[in-house]
Amino acid sequence: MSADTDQVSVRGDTYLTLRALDQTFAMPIEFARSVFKIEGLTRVPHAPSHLVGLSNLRGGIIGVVCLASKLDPDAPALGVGALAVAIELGTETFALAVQEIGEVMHAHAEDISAAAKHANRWQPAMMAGIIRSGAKLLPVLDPFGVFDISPVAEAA
Amino acid sequence: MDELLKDFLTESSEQLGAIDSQLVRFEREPSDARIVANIFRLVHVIKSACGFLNLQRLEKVAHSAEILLTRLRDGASPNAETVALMLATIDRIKFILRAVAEGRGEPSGEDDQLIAEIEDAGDPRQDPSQSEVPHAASVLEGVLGSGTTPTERRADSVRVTLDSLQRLTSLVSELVLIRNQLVAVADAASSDGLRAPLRRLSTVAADLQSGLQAARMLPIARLFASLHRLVRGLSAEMGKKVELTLRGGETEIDRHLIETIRDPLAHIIRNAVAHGVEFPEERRRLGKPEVGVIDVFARCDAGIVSIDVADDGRGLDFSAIRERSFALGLGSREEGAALDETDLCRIVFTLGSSAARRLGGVFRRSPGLDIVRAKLKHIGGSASLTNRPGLGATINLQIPLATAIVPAFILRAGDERFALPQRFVEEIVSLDTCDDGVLIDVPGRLALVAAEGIVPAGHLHVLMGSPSRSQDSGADPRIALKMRAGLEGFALVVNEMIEVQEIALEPLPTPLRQIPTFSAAAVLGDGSVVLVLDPLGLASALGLPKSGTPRLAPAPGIKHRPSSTNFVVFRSDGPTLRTLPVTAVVRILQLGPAQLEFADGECLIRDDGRGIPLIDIEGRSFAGQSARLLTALLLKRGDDSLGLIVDEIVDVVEEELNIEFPGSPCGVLGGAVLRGETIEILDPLLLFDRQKNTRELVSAKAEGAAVLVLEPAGFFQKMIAAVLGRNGYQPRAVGDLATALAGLGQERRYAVALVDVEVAIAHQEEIARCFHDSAVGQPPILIGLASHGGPTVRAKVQNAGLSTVLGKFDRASMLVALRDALSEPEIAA
Repeated sequence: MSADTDQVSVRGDTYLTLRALDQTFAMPIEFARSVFKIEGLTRVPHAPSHLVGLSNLRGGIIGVVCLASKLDPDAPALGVGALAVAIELGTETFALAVQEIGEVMHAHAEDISAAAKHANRWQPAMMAGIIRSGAKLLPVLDPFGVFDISPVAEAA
Repeated sequence: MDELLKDFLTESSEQLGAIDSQLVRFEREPSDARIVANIFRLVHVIKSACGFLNLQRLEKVAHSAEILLTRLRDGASPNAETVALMLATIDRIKFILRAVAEGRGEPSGEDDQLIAEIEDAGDPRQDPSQSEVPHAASVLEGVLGSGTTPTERRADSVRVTLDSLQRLTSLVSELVLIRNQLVAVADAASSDGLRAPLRRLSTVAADLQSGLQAARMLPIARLFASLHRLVRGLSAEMGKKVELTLRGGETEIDRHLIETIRDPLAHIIRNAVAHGVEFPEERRRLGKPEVGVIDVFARCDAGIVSIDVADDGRGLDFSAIRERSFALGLGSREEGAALDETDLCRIVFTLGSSAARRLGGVFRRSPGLDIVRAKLKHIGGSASLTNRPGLGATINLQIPLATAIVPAFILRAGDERFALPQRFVEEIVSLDTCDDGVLIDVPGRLALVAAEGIVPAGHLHVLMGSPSRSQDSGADPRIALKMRAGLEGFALVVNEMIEVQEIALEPLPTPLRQIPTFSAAAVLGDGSVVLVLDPLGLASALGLPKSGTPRLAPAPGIKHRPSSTNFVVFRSDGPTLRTLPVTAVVRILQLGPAQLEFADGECLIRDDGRGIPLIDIEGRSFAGQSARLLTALLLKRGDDSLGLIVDEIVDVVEEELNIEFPGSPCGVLGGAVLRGETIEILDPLLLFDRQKNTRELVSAKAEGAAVLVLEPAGFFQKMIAAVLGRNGYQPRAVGDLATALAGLGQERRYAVALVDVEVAIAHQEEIARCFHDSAVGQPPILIGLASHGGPTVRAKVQNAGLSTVLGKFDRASMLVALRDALSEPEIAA
């Protein structure tokens, strides 16, 4: 996988909406592969708290990240029974556990702006931009930032 | 891309790899026509296909190579220029092939100069096109043997892409997984009908797996092929003379792993040429042959391919390594100086692109040995180094034959399961009973004492931060798995070994790959995911030094130092530390009340049907013990066994203990100072002798006998009074002579007075008289107690009227002396 070539661009397209911490987020739908309920989870000792474990998705092993914990380390982590979106980033698939999965929405390029660093309460690395939807502002998640995947992740 | 072209590219790249090594061999053995024939055949095959595939530029260059080879076949003398020209031609062929493989077609460019050089290098009039067909045919016939054509040779093999093999491997992994699931289902349903077909499925899956594995294997010679050229180029660049010998090329290894270790191996060889082998003049001066040798030796042993890269150069410069470690901030200069050779050999793998950058281009483009180790770790292998100063160094690489499916122990730690590949485990030690081994809990660390010795240990549930659970209850048996990480052995304590399962290793998600304790993950038969443990990471988590850990300070834990002795340090009662050589301890026993038997006033335990006496150095009784577990050291002398009760095992140390004060015939060899604390060294042989007289230590007359203790130090007052009290005496401890004498003047009568020798020395002449005058009735027998005994002390107090002088720590002798004193007829009277 090359994160260089897969970087999220905020150019107006189709988004999947997700809820965490009682707020709605958008994620470019091109990364989403499926939605599933977490049946089993294996805790990974010494892993960051938002990486809640490993799960078996159709025979493949995927890392499950709780979006709420990732956004706010003090938030209780979701686990077995929670809904998750399988997200494919290059050759790897991850799962994002969320409170709720919303609808698929379309946004035009003119409705999307870059995430304003100061006006944004979330970590900038996780945000790809903001969608203006009527009176609402929807933060757009950058899946690479959410899953801590960077082009230099595999130094060894 | 055209399938035909794909096949051609694959085949050509294999042939070019073979040509490199053939050329270097040819340079060394120019008279060997067979080598020329080999090279010619390889180039000819490439050239022949070019016309068909319309690769005109490639055809021209290959044709030039053939011209050169034809001349050599006809007897032209090869020289360095010819070989260099040939290498340049092969490089050009590779360059064109690479562009074609990348889908760019033949690159534009001119080869006229190269072709002209080839023509200038020999007779330009000779045109191989006239003779090549018969010549090639005769060469091929010579190489392959008559009656066998290349087509026939290939008829019994097919070319399969690595992708196809990879896909098959994934499918077999999935099959093994499904088999595991079925086994789980059959077990849960207790279905006998399923067992026979499942066994058959297991056999077929195993055969399929091994068959596929065999198909993935390639001789390691494929990896060796490019090394000759590397050494040749590097030694020429540096002005060194180096010969490369390759052994064990027939050893087979997974194709994927060959690619993974290609760079590490090349790096090690670059290092050997650049740092190991000396310049020719230096070698001459040292009396070594001018040409240095780098020997690469591959072999396969028990599922592990081992590759040694040995050079006969100068070996490692330890002072440079120490300096480099200091510069990198891995420790102070003093810590560096304290490191032994083993530590230094290990640290080499942590130093990154090494101190030899000054040597120029070679090292700027090569990674450090840390990357070598990291790459090997990634495939489940390891690297180590041995050094012979002045004679050379050897780097050993251990590579698993294959990585995809491995048998693994499924372990339980707390409520969680983990997998540990079986090949890492050296020994499984049951902790359910005391037969195999025992854990010693010492402050801050844990050690496993087993038949083969003592190794540091760790609870897996602690290392994994597992949710708390009653780990030590009898219903939760524990097992220790002994394994090795580099040179260090250690043990991992788990709650249960659930089963052995073949698991298909899957890489961890990228964000988790930095966690050192895991190497992979796997799906078990029940569909759950387990993490696969990495012994090197576990050793590191336990605080053990592992190769690759950037630490300089000698590691905590038990470390082998041949000149010192391992001692078990324990307390029996009170603060006094005692110790026994580990060699004297056969086992450490944990004894419940049910295991204690009482016969004839003696406490016994059963071992192999024999009763083994249990003794306490303080003479405490075990009758009516509460439900708590007792810890005992099992000692042996010939056929005799003895259990020595201890309250707490404090540590296992490796020290040279100097006996600083003598002991007694009752089991104490002497006293020593360990880390600033006084420690009694017990003599196991004396303990056996003492045991025979244990019940005689305290005479019947001891019951209720009053003993005066004159001891200025509160610590000893308390300790001695406690010993006496437990053994049926009525002690009275006082701190000075006046109080002692005042006590004597009262109604109470003391049979014996234990007097601190310092007090006795201070009142040398008068003490016996004072006691005599102050006592009501018979004066007490005076026994001296010294912190440091010996003839000097005895001489100093010889006028004080003391019957004997004993060590304050030597409670056994004290009890014997008291018994003897009380047995005196006049006292009894």
